[in-house]
Amino acid sequence: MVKYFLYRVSLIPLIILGVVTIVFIILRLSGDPVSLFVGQDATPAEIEEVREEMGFNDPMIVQYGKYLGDVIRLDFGNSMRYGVPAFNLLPKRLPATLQLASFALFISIFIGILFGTVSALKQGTVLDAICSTITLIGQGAPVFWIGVMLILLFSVKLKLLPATGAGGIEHLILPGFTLGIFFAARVARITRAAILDIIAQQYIWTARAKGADEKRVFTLHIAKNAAISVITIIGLSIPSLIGGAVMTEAIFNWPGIGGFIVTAVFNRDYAIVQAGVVILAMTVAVTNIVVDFIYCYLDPRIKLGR
Amino acid sequence: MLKKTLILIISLLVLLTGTVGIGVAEKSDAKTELVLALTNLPTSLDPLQDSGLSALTTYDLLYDRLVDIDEKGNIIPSLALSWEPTGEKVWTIKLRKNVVFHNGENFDAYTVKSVIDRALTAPESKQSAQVSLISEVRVIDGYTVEIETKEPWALLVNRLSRLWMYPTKYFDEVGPQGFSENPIGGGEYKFVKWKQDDYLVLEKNENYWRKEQSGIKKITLRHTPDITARINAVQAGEADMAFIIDPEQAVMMEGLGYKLISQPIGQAYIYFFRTTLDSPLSDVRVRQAINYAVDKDIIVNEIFMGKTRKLDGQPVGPDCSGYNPNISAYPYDVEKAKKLLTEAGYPDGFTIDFDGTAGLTPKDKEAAVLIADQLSKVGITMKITLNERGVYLDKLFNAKMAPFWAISLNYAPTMDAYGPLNNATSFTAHKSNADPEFDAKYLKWLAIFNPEEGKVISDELLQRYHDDALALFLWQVPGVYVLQPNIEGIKMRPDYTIDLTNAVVK
Repeated sequence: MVKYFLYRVSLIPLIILGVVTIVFIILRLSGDPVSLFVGQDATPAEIEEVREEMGFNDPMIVQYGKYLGDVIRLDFGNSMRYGVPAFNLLPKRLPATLQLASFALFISIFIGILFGTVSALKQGTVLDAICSTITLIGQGAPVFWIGVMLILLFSVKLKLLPATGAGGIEHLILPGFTLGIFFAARVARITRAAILDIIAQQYIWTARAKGADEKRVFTLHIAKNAAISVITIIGLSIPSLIGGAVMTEAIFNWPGIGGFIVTAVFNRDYAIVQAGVVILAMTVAVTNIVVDFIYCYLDPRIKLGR
Repeated sequence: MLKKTLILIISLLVLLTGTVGIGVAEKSDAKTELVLALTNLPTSLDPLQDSGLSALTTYDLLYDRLVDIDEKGNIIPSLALSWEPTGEKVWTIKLRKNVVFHNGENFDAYTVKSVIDRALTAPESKQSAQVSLISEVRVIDGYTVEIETKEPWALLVNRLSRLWMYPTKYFDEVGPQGFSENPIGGGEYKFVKWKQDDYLVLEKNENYWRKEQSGIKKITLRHTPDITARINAVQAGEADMAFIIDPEQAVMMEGLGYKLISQPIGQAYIYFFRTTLDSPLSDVRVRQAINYAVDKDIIVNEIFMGKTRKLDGQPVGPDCSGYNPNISAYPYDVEKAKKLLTEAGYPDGFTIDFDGTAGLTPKDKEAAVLIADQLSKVGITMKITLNERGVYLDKLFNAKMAPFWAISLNYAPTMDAYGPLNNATSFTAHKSNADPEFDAKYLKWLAIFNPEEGKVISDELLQRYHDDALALFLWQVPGVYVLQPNIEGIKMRPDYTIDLTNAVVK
């Protein structure tokens, strides 16, 4: 287990290298970087001076080498908009994103398992049809549409919940639902399929034939065995929840890292985009490792190894 | 396993209810409070550290500047009472007395010198380019300063409208970081609390020096970059006013009973002709024909739903001090356009490449398609390339634009014609025009101190801009603001500042 852990941790720098290289190439492809540092009325001489000063006249491979050196020192340069090191701006926004993603995860687990279980246990009934339809909508509807609809209903019409900003738990509910609903639909589908699969197994028939009551059959035999598939899909969803918070943060004006990076992309604030993507990549990589180890904790039959 | 799952879920809940450092969103609940959903809060509350247009609204509430700008772009007194050129390169400025900052520190000539010196030299200053021609500030007496420039510079006073005054002794004590965290100004509102990129709370300065003052006692400014989030905040009753929304959203909100303020921004949207290239556009008759062939009223009324105004045949609006009232827009006249094209040797029209913007300003893509359709009626085929901002700027700064290309010429917040006129000279990177006579007259204009004489020259330059049809003059970039139905008396100024003098929450 320790060997496997060290192996996984050793892969993180390679993942980061891949991410920073892709970001470097994409940002350079999107236009002349010098245009960010001069005004619209700049003269050719001013432009050339800035280009030389910022090293944009160097060959691309030299620029890439310098860039990698800076990344290793976590120096992504100063934010163009804020005028301070970009890396310093991000950590204070990460907790808000993690808070939103955690709440959305809780929502998706709760709703997903509830709907999936009801749907499976009442297979073929109206209740199954309702739950299946809701999960289908949850998975098919775009995040921005769900967000706007929830705001219109709960904030504009009913005035029950705040539409924007962060604060108490009430501020978390709408963005949490918006972000979590897609993943809830996925969890519900997997839960339903897993339970239906297990219900058809012979050991369930055996348990019932032995006279075990339905509650005992469900908790001891069905739920326990279905959990592995459900936890797998939940684990796979966690990185997507963190990365997927970008759109939700924008709609709800949530002060997290996602919305901050989106604004930086529109402003072409290279330093923030680069630092933000690296932090998100690290978060996702670490989360993946943690999820792998949670499998082992929950089901000791699973052994990790290369 | 279920127990273990339960432990995980409980851990998750503990994490959720844990104290994550997020500020409490502010809500207005009294008739003397306002919540404004801005496109952006400043990146710093030090007024030298953010030169963006969106920062001006905030800075103007917290600080005063030497001069203000009226709705016609004219410079009017604020902390400076008068100004006059007293030498070829020297301005003498008389300052207002009995003005104190929120901490009791006096405003005087030493304040002005210290602020300008720092604007010029501090590494964190984002205003150095605005005042770069200043060589020295001299204190003559407590309330008089002399400003010497490196060369004759008629636009100095306009540029001073970018500098907000702050208590320099306090600044020297706390430094840039300390000042930004606990800023002290001299404006109508005082700092209460701030969370970067989230909210800023201000309260009324009861010792403010102006006679006409707002009745609003508390203002919360919220950082709301997403346009939909701004609208949602108003609809949910969380904000009293949202800044800059789309024309369609404006019409929708108006239909729902919300109030609108439509105040075009100091930006002129035009299509430049690269007269320096060998193309049909090097002929003035062709350029004029294009101006006649495009119906600007349809663009303004249909695409912008009447929420802005067309340009009057010049690259500035009537909110600019350089605006020439004697120039009017080229009327929509297809027959005249065809006649001019025939005279120029293009009776059947021609095909021309066009570089446009994609989302740089509202509705730029939709308008490009409509303009192409209108030009097709006189035989001109516009081959449109819509550029993402990065690609667009790349072409702009490397003179790689097509012969026909779009630009949003910014003249806010100083509201003078410097930027639009400069872009028609050969001194820019894009080099769309290279007329030695125009260049010479432009340089002459920059050095004329007398405002009346200067206006004569700038009028001539704008007349030439119009007559030579150096651009297809289109519209002013719209600025539309939505308010709760119970708000009255708020005015937006064209330099992006807000006037709350008569603001009332009913």
